[in-house]
Amino acid sequence: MSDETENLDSTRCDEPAGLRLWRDERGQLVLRRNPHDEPIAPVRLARCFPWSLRDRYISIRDKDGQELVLLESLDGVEPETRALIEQELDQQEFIPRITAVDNVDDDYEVMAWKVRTDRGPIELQVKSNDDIRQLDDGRVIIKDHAGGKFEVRDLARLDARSRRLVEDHLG
Amino acid sequence: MSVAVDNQIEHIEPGSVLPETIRLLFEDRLGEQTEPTAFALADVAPSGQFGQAWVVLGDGQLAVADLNRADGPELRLTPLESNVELEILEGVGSSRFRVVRDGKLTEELRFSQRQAKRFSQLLRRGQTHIRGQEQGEQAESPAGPEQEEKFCDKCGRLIPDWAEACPRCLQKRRILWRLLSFAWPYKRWLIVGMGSALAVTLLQLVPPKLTQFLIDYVLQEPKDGAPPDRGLLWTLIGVLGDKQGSAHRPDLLWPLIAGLACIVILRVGFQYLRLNRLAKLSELMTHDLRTAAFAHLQKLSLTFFNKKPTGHLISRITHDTDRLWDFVAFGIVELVMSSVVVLGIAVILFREEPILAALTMVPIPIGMVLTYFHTVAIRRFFHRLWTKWSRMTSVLSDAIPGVRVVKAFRQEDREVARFTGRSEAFVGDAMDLHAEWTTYWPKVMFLLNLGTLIIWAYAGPKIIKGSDHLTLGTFVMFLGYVWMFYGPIEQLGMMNRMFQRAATSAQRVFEVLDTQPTIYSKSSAVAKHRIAGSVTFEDVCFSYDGVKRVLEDVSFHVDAGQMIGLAGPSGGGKTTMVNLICRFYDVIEGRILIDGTDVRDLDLYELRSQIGVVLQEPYLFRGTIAENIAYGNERADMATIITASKAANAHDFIVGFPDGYDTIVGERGQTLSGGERQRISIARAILNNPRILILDEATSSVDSKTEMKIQEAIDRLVEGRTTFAIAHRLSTLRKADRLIILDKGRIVEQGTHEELLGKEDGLYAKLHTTQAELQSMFAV
Repeated sequence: MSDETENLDSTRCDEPAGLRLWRDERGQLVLRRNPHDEPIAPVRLARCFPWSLRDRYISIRDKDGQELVLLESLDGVEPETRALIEQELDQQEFIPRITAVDNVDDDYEVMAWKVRTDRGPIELQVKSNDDIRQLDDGRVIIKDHAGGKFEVRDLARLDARSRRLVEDHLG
Repeated sequence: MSVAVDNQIEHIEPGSVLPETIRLLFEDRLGEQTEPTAFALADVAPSGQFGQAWVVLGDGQLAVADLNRADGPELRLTPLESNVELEILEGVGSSRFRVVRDGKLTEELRFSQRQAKRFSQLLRRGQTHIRGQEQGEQAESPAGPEQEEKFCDKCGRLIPDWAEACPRCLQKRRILWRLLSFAWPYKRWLIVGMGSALAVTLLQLVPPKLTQFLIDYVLQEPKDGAPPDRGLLWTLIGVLGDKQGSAHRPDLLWPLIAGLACIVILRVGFQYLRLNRLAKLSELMTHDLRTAAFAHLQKLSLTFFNKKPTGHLISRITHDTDRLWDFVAFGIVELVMSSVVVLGIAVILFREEPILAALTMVPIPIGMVLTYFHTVAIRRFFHRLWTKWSRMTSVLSDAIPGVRVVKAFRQEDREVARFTGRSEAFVGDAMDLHAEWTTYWPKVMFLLNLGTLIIWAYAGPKIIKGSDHLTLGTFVMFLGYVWMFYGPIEQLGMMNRMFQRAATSAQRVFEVLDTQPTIYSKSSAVAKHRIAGSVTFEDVCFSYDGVKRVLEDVSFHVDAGQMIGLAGPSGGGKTTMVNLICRFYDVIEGRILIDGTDVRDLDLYELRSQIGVVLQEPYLFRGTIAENIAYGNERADMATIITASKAANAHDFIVGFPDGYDTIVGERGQTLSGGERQRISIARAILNNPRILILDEATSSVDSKTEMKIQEAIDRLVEGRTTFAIAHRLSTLRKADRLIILDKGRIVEQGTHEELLGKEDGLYAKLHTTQAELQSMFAV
């Protein structure tokens, strides 16, 4: 830790010991922080750094978005609860990773992107180049007309043609 | 039962059409009369792969057909009764639609962002139905237009939001004809310009032909037998048509040189006429288009402006019309001329020497293909460069205005590194661009030189041998024509793109012209020159997007001259309510009456002239303070302006400026503070002397001394007018005759300040306590 931040107390994350999460009959997530606590339902999960530090700092919140628990990592979480957290995070996220670009039709303003992703092939309607952004770490995020996001993890690992198509349209 | 997964038509937006197989499945179970009232596609399988499961609503049933299962879809039915709950659990990019029956989860379906709208619609329908069951009433489908993204019927592609019709499928030719109809008022120039262009082109074709004659019949003795002797005129005509029939005519040397000189002069003259007339013509034409578009834009309702971002509208009036200017002034003519040149040369050459002509023309198609790919590549590189350029400049626009922060946090080196990195990326792409065009030109030059070489190789031996047909003159003529292909190759190669761009630009401009305002004065509208100012809302419902209701069943009556305070949490519908009074939008249900007349029956212009608005962030136009105060009332004399400013407590600070009332404000009006701007806009409202006054957060974000001054000004302004005041600071609403508290689009409380404070668990009382606490905290 650098000197400048020394004077800041590091955020105290909650201890994972004793934390339990399960799904009730309604399919809602129920949280019990300690064996002697009252269960809270429904709760929701969120990643604090969905892009830069995916697996750390997981926030458990009530239905109004108030944080109940902040987990620094999932290590030490009781195995069943951990599996449920991972499953739930996976279920609420959907950012297909583009593995190849077959074609881009850009004759008119709305572009049609035929791509292959890790979730299967799909055609995207992209409204403008502004919806194709490169992050500083090199990843490219493509937003379709409805706001759905698609990711190119590593441009260098695409085939030459796909790579050129993405680079040509970066906004 | 097993049904094959539908092969969706390519490009059709998935989920926008219910597949026939699913419909049949649904009708099988529920009877053929059952029409699905809503459907949605769950396009993500539980595994996280793209999948297909359909949810269909109809006849009080919710049906799920899951196509992700290997054994074919089964239809699972849930009757929509009061023991059923529907919910959508929103996630990041994928949400889940859930059906809970008797407290147990029975269905969970994943869908991606692009299906979200249809699912929320389905959820609403379903919930309405369940509620209807509870109350024992028949559920009705919610009224109001459903705004959705439009997809083209023909190609299935998304239609950009600025367009009404699919630009891909629209007939380009019809648009271009319509564009030319704007040139019609200037038809004389059009004819002169086009005619001159044609003359220039034809004249350009003459000199090589004359040269041929000069060489074969004037400089040398012709090889054929003695042709009949004709007059000069005949010879000249003969030159252009028939090469046989001329004898050695050294006497024609000077007349022919004179003829060449004439052609040169004529060409210059016609060239001038063509450029001059067409440039001016298209300037006037685009001026007409531009002003027509802007004038029409001003007439359009706010709904239109909400749909289209300001930047797009500005670019339609500037960029698109500019592009059309270029197209009309030069594009069309260049294309016509290029075609005439190529055709003309082809006719001349083929009549002389068909084989040599064919060989000479070979480079043309190759050149056109080269140019086509060149323009495509250049466009790509330019786009890349442009992107890199803006990434680079964004560092500047970050770091220069933020220089104090940069220095305070000692980040100078980091900013330099950031800028250098982005500049390097720009240079990298620029190198590619230079590589492209620097190889293109030599390639075209090579082609043309190749044409020359072909002529040499073919004609040289024949001339040495002394062939009958191929004379030295013909040879030189061919060489002369080869270099004329240069321009056409370039033009014709770009033709496709040029037409496409012009047609798109024209469509964007016409689109504005063709949009009809949704809010306008009826022909039977009543023009009330002086309204008293009573306002009545009767069961008013409103929604901006046709989906989410922003106001629901709002009813109240305000007598003329009363002051009404509007309060409540943000997003409660306060601003929407005043937007409706100004008739920036029309209500969806219910009606709004002013002096007992429906606002939709009032003359729009008269109505707005009697409503004054002081906005949260007062908008000042570029101009002097005096002009800004007199905006909306240009005939006001200086004395009135001063009176209004005094009433607005603005006079003193205005005169304090070195330029007084002539101080320029607007666009970069940083010279004025928020409080000063507000008082100017109050003066503007006072000068307009409206019967109904709308104050939107007029006293936010100023210090308390200024606030007092503004409050004073407002008190004067409010006097005798029906006033609607929106404010977060509840203390400023104390003077109101009545307060209306809005929450989530409904009126939750009404009454005077004291009455509402009396209600202990009332929303107003709560808001008031919180604010009082906050103020005492900061007052220390």
